[in-house]
Amino acid sequence: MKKITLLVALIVGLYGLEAQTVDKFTETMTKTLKDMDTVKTADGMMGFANKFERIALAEKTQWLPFYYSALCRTTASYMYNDATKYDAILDVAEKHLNIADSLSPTNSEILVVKSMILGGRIMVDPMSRGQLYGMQSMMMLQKAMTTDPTNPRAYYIMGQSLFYTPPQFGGGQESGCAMTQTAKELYATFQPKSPIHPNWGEDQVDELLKQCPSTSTDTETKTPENE
Amino acid sequence: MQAQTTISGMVTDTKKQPIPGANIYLAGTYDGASSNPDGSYSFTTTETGQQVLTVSFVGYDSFTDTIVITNGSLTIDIALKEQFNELNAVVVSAGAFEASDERKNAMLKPLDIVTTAGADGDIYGALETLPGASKVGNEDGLFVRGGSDYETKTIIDGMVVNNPFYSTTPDIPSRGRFQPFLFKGTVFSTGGYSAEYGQALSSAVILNTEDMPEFSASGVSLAPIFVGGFHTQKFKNQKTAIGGGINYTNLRLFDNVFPPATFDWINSVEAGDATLYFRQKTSKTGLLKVYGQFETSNLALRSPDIDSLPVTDDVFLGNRYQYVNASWREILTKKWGVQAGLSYSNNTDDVTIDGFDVGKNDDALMAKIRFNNEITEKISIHYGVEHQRIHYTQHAGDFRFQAEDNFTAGFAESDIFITNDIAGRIGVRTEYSSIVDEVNIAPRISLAFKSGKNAQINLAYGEFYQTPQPNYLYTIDTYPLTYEHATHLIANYQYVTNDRTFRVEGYYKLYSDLITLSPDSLNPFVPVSANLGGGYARGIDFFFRDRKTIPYADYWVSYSFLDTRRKFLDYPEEVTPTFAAQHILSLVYKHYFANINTQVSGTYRFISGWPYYNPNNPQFLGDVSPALHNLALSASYLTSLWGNFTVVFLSWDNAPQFDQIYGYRYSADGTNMLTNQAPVKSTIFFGVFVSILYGQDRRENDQDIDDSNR
Repeated sequence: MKKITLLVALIVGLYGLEAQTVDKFTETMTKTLKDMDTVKTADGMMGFANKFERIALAEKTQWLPFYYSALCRTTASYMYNDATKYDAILDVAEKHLNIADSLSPTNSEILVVKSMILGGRIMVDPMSRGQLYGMQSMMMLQKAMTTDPTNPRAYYIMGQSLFYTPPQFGGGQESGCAMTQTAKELYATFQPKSPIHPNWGEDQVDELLKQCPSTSTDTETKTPENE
Repeated sequence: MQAQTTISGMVTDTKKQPIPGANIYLAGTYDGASSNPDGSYSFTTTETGQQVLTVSFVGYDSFTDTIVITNGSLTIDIALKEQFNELNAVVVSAGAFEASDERKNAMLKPLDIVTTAGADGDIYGALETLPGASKVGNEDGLFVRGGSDYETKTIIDGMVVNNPFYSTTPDIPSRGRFQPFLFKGTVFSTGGYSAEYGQALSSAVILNTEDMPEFSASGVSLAPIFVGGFHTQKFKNQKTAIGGGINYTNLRLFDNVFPPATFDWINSVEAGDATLYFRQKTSKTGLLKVYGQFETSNLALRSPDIDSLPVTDDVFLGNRYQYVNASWREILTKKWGVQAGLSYSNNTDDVTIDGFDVGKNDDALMAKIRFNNEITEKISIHYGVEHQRIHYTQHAGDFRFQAEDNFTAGFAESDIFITNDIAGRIGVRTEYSSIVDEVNIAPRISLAFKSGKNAQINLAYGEFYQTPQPNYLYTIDTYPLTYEHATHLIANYQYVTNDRTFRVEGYYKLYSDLITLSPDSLNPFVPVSANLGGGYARGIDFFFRDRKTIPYADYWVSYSFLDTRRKFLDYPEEVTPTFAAQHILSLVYKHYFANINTQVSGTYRFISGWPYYNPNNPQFLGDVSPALHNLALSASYLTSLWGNFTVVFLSWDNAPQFDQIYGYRYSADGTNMLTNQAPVKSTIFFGVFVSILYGQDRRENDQDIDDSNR
């Protein structure tokens, strides 16, 4: 009996410890994500990537900080506008995303960022990397959609890729806009699992839709309001 | 309220230059900061006691130090050491043009080969646009830096390829047998290459086949003279891929539209081939690759007989070729890797000239094993052994000749990085050929100095040996022979950024023991072979490639200056050989028009002319053919056909109709003369290639198989 009491005490104690760290984790993550909204530069984005990396390495079992580190790096590489930097930054992003993947397998959100990393790699050398990476990137997104058909980010990133891909290679503005529209509709109902789960992209979708033919934008964006 | 400690300082590299963006933190805590543009950082922490301070930044070794935090503030300056990274480090590259998808700065990528006008999808045709290399008139083979065709060896996955060119008659230009898309990378070495390769006095074309395909795929090629298809099936377990292809070529239509100027066709070239393709992952890091190619081709033509004009000769040529290459590689431990290979080839040429039978057969078997060992981060060594058994059979009418070479070689080579900026490769190769019954020892040394962020200087020295060609072994039983021999000295400077490459390379090559032929008083039909020749080749190669200045355009310029003289074969004295042109200039321009999805390419080549034999000139090889100009144009339209990636290809060789004269041929008595020229002055070719990829989920990360064959 004594033993059991001790065991219970231990478990409760451990749980308490766990609960405490989770709280600090959630609190820091929430604050960092909020601060991130104001970031304007690639260097600033890399600063947040470093912050998420610090949290990730302290926690080690949480997929979210690894995910955000990868996401910030991928976004930063796009913002640098210097193809020579992409590969080195994306290598780290991929490393962190692979850890996230092993902590949370078959995760639609992680697949979306995998696809974005491949997209960044294409920009280094479109001629020789385009066909293969483009195809892999699309497949990642298709898998993200089957894993979670309600993930608006999968549709947004696919819409964006299609938008900038010439029709001869299976893209085009029309299909790109239609897919982005679907993303827009999904954002309307999307609820993140927690305040620190991925919940980005809606603003970018609105930006992209502005470039779409006005007819479709007008009618479609009105739809949710009419409902 | 817990006490806070402020930790601040500077992050720099070892040269005191600030590093912005480094991640500074206390391990296991959230506390930390990124360094600012001036390298400074500052953060606060509530931790106390012993902590591990960690600093990390891409491209630098991570820094960790145990610190003790008491109250107050701490100032800690950190110098990060540049990570030893092979991609940033200097690369030993004298003499070599590396071309692969993996290296960003590659000179020529596989895709470049098929989009270069004038190369006609032939690997050697594309290599010809690099400095130092040239095809010569209608001759087979690639001639490098004053070397003869046989001095260039082709190597696939570490294994020597015999007869890499299609068999043709002397009137018809030849091309390589292997399709460019089989290969993920090409290293074209114009001298001073690794001790792993031998039996080539001048040059090595090192081709590495694709590893496991990403997807199942099919392809169909269609042209008026060509039809072909292939399929590769990748199995769901992601460990096995198997495939094959069939191609059929018939030039009849082409020959009717573009009749040759120098001869008449009896039967146009007709060829068929089948390929076999197999990939098997033997473990997480092991891969077995098998490739086979089986071909048959025939042609027949009627060409003027120079010694008795206007009589003509009817020439029939039949060729059968089989090639199988199996290679396996495995990473044994973190520091040890192994590669093993087995290859077999059999080539038969049957030629009939006016009823007179001439023929030859080469039957070659090769086995090789190679280990690589990373002793430290900066020193690696690879060594191995190879054995080849080549059986030669030749006949001309009743004359028959057979020879067999049992050839064994061993090599050891070490790559040493003295610093990130200085690297060396020191190796030695030793060979024994049963034909010459002698052992040779060939040392090779390369050094590279990084002289600036993007610039480096390379130096190379090497000894190269080659067993005499089978055609010159007829008298070996009576008059023993030794290896032909060349010494290379190379110095180069290169400046490489992501989008631009500039390179200048000077070389000196000293030949000795080259085969000479002299008449035998006892047998006037078979000359005596001896190692009495020699000579030199020296020159400068320039290369400039730019993918930046003009948007959507990629162009490169190659220029070679060559000064060479040699005594070999039946040359009475040391002269410039028939395959050496003093000046060669290539200009390749490619432009991608995104709005019409078309890549347009043009290649201009200038060759100052080759010496040719004129019996009326007392000076041996005293005549030089007229300067040669050629402008080839091509366009590739990328589109989709039934949803599949499709390329429509159109090429126009020698569009401005320049004369394509390679020299003149004389009858033995010097009275008759024929022009040695391209059979067709200008040609047009078009075709369609459809590529069908079958998407499949890529569950396993293929990156764990990394090509260790560097």
